[in-house]
Order: sequence, then C-alpha cells, then structure tokens
Amino acid sequence: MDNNWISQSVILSAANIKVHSGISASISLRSDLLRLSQQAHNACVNPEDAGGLSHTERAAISSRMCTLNDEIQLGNYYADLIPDSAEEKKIIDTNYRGHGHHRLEAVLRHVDLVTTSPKDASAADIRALEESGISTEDMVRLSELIAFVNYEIRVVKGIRLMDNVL
Amino acid sequence: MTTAITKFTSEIPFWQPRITPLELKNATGQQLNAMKVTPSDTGIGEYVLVLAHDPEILDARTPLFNGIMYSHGGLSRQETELGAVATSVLNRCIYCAAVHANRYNQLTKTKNLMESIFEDTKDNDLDERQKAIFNFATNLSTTPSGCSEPDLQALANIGLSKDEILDLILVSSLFGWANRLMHVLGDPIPK
Repeated sequence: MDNNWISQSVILSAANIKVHSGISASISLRSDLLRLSQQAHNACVNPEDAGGLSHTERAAISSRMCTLNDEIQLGNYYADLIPDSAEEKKIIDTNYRGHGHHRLEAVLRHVDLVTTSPKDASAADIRALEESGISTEDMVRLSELIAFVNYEIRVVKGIRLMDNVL
Repeated sequence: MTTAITKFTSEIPFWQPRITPLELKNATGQQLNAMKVTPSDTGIGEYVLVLAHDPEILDARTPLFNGIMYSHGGLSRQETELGAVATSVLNRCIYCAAVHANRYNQLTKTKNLMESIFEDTKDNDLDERQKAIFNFATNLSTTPSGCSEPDLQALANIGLSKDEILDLILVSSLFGWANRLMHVLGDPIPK
C-alpha cells in the first residue's frame, strides 16, 4: 500500500487511511477488491455512456445520498465534482425535491426512498419513474448508481471505523 | 400476475422483473461481453438481462461480487453468507435472503440457524460469534449507518481477525448494493 495507490482509491481517501495504518495488511490482502470497487465507481459515476444521467447529475445525487447517510467526507468529494455554476448543485440539499421539474422530482423521490428505506420500494415506485418519462435504460443506470454509492458509503464507514478502533 | 412472496424462506424463488429485460437477440457486443455470454449460452437469467441495460457497471460488478463472496484468506464461506443474510433481512430482500440462506444451509448442512433468523428467534439460537457478526452487518446496513465502535470492538473481542472484519464490512456493504437492485427492480414469486 502506498500513497499513490491510496490517492487513486476514492474509498481509502475518504476513509482517511494512511500508509502505516494498523489495518494496512488487511487492506493489502484485499487490494484487488478495492481496485474493482474503484472500477465500479468509475462505471457508475463517470461512465463512457452516461445516457440520460449526466456526470454532473450523478455526482450531485451521490453527494445527496452521502448526506442522507451522514457521510460528510465522501459527500464533499462528490460535491467538489460539480461545477459551481451548475444547476445540479441544488440536488445536494436533501430539502430540495426538484420543485416543479417532473422528471427530477421522480428521480429524487426514488433516490431518497431507496437510500433510506429500500425495503419499502414497490412496483408502484418503478411505475412512477416510468410515468415521469425515464427510459428503461436510465432506470437501470439510476438503480445501479443508488445501489453502488450505498455500498461505497458503507465500505468507507466500516474501514474508517476499523482504522480508528483496531 | 403471480403474487409476490412476502415471507422469508430458504427455498429459492423465481425473480420476476418489474422492468422489461433486454432481449438477448438485440444485445450489443458490449452487452454480451458484460453478461459473459458465450455462443452456446442460452441460460441467461432475467436479472442479468435487466442489468445488461447498463453494461458498463454490470461488467465491473461481476468480478467484484465474486471476489467478495469467494476470495480465500479472510472470513469463512459460511460466515460470509451469514453477513449477506443479515443485510438482506434488514432490507427485506426476500430473494437475496433465500439464495444466501440456502447456500449457508448447504455449507453447514444445517437448517435451524436460518430458520431462527427468519422467525426472529435468533437471540436464543445464535452463538456469541454469530450474534456479533449478524449485529455488525445489520447496524452497518441501516441508513444512516448505526455501526459504532462497540459493534466493531465486539467482533474483535469474540476473536475475529482484522482480515475477517474487513471481509465482513465488504460483504454486508455488497448486499446493501445487491438488495437495492434485486428488491427494487423485481419481485420474488413462487417456483
């Protein structure tokens, strides 16, 4: 494990892991899984084919999900990816619900539901996305983004906790 | 339409998608590659055909999923499955819970532990190590995460190594991902 590698891993950077951490041997044992996690991050946050969810919107939604999870450091990382002039900045604020923008209202409602209470997601929630004009492909893109960032947040929190305690 | 299963079970149900899966004959080269389809392969499941609508992440996710579930050297296979079940129960993903309870039962050649988890009598039936693993995975998986230093210390006190704890973090987080796809994009229905 070296500084270069840590800086290339969003998870290790956000968890504030240092080269001589007490858990560096365990991290090194799973270096392949952290690299694959970074590849998944790239595929969800900065995909080559972004479809109907721009890179900026993805970063803003991700930052919002971090806020819903009280994950400040990773949330700041995502917020910093959004240009200052971008309209999407509003999305970071969890009190913003997409006022009057039908598609965005549906997206943010779904993001908040599946992040905070996935057990309550029903077929009606998928229909609501469809009715707001979101394509089948974009529903899968959005679902993967929500699901992946919720994974990433918990790996960051867990590794940070390990580093603090052990 | 068949009614979805709403009670936990260790018998693996069918998964019925809520959105239209990709038709294999319409798949692009990138989608076929992400699905790992070989020319003779006709058994691609509906779940993979749904996820193939976003081939970039499907391609990245498959090796990560397999790596977390099957890598050697840290948490045992059966305790990895226990972590997967704990998160799936919290998120009420009936399908994921069934698949991984079934695997746990196969690995241990038992049924009673998963039955007690599904019937919520686990306080009586899990040993201290199993309880610490189950509680840690559950608490890490809540939103916001309710995982705290005592949860982690409990794992260390019961004898889990750092390698085992990292693997438990990875598998319970992974099911926060898997449950948010399986449970949101489809329904478990009886076979």
